[in-house]
Amino acid sequence: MITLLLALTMGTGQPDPLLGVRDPQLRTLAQTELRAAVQKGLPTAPLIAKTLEGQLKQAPAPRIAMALKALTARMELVKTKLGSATEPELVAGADALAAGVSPDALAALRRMWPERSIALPIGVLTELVTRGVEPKLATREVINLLNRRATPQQLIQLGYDVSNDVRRGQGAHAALDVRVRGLMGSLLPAPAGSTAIPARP
Amino acid sequence: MRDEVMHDPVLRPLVETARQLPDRNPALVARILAATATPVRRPWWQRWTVPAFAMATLAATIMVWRREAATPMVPAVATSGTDSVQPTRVAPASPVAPVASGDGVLPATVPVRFAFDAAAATTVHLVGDFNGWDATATPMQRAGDGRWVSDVALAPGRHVYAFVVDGTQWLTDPHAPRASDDDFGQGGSVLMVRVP
Amino acid sequence: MDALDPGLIARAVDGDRQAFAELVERLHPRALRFAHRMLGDSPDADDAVQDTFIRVWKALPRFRVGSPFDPWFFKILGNRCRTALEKRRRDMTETLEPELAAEAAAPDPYQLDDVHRVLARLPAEQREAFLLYHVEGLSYEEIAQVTGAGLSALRMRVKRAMDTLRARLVEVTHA
Repeated sequence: MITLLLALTMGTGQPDPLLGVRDPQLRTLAQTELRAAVQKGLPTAPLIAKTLEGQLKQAPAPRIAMALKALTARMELVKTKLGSATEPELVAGADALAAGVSPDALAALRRMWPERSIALPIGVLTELVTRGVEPKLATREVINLLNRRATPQQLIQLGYDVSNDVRRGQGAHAALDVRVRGLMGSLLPAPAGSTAIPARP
Repeated sequence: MRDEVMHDPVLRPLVETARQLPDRNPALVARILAATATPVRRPWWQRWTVPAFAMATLAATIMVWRREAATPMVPAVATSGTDSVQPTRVAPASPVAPVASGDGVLPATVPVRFAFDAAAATTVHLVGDFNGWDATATPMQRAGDGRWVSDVALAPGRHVYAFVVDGTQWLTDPHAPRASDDDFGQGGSVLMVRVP
Repeated sequence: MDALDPGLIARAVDGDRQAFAELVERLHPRALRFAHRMLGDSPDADDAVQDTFIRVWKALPRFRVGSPFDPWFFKILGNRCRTALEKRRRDMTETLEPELAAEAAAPDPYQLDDVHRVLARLPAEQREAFLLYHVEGLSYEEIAQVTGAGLSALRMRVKRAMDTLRARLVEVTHA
């Protein structure tokens, strides 16, 4: 929708998606990046948001333009790794890459949850890594939980708990270890094919 | 050679530690017995018996199994900052009942109340990834005692947010974890929106 | 080592559920010990033990009563652990870079103390031979039955494991 809006605006003088951007230099730079994103088939709303975020934080226009280029590159990589991706997935994936999550980890999440949006597990992964969990370890634990059919609610709770534990002074790895163990007790023991699950009566 | 290792001052502690047995695991035993409760086809010369014990074990372990598999989802958000004089975010007192269930179906949004203490402020706006960091999109309302509040509906998951005071001043929530920000060097606050 | 009563095993072979339940009760801590050392203190280890006992239950009718039980049992458990390691490595190779996959397939070093971390870094074959010999108390002949490897190869694996462990423990101690 916003992409369409942008396309219309740029040629026809329709409502300006960068209306909130006051600095003329920033407007020019941002428009260039938005056009580049449209050509790559990427949504522009995340770039507009990033422009406004940079403006709010009073960052200089060239720095905001660099941030837009970086965001475009990250979304492009996410799109490549996920195949088709929704806008929330692209944004969550780009944030995850910025936090240090590997692109292959995103592809692994997609394989684990092919039928629904993976924006949520990506967000949990980002949160774990932001709190200091080593990215490979965080990826392995999240994948393991998905493999054991952890619900989205349980994943969110995990991210929430680890985050709080770390704020209270606990080490990130220790917090993750404890919380994952706690969660495992309530999960089914096995992915199909690798472990026998008792047949239901 | 096996004895030799116990005379090795370097390896001996390792072997002794490695020989320590873990605690017994009753839940695992219950799962094993439940999974093996079905009779095995045995050679004709072996006597076929399924003692009453087997049936009792089956019944008990299935109960254990069901309880484990049906463990309810996590409790509702319980963060509270109402007793704080610092800028803070509080969860809704009575969130809308979600469609969520054990199969992982999530509600599209969950209501969340943000609160921020800024008695001297003329305006306060909530900004975040949920409103495109638009400093005009979500004005907060005065709620007395210098507190500003805003109720928004957020998708479950991770969100980054901040407060903008008087149109220019960017402030994070001191009671929330910080997000990193390599782009501009000023991370916002993180909110993990859970489902009640 | 708390030896299992041959009578108990015979009853389990005969299909006695109570005997099998007692066998599980008596043997599962040992099975968990081995699986944890092979796979790390992870849910995979619990899964491997659970699956092993299920296979044992199914295979018990074919067990020759009177022959040593440990090698027979550890053959099933060892296979299950090797399969889990291989699956972990394969899954990781699909999703991560190859060198990262090999590292990630090993027991999780963040969950282990120094001693176990050193043990976890051994190649899987050496770790298995070392554990079966020095921890589970099997003879080389029995380990040969478990792993299918030759006696001299097994002796070499255990020796190499000991040399590596000794060197790394000295390293850890001096670090």
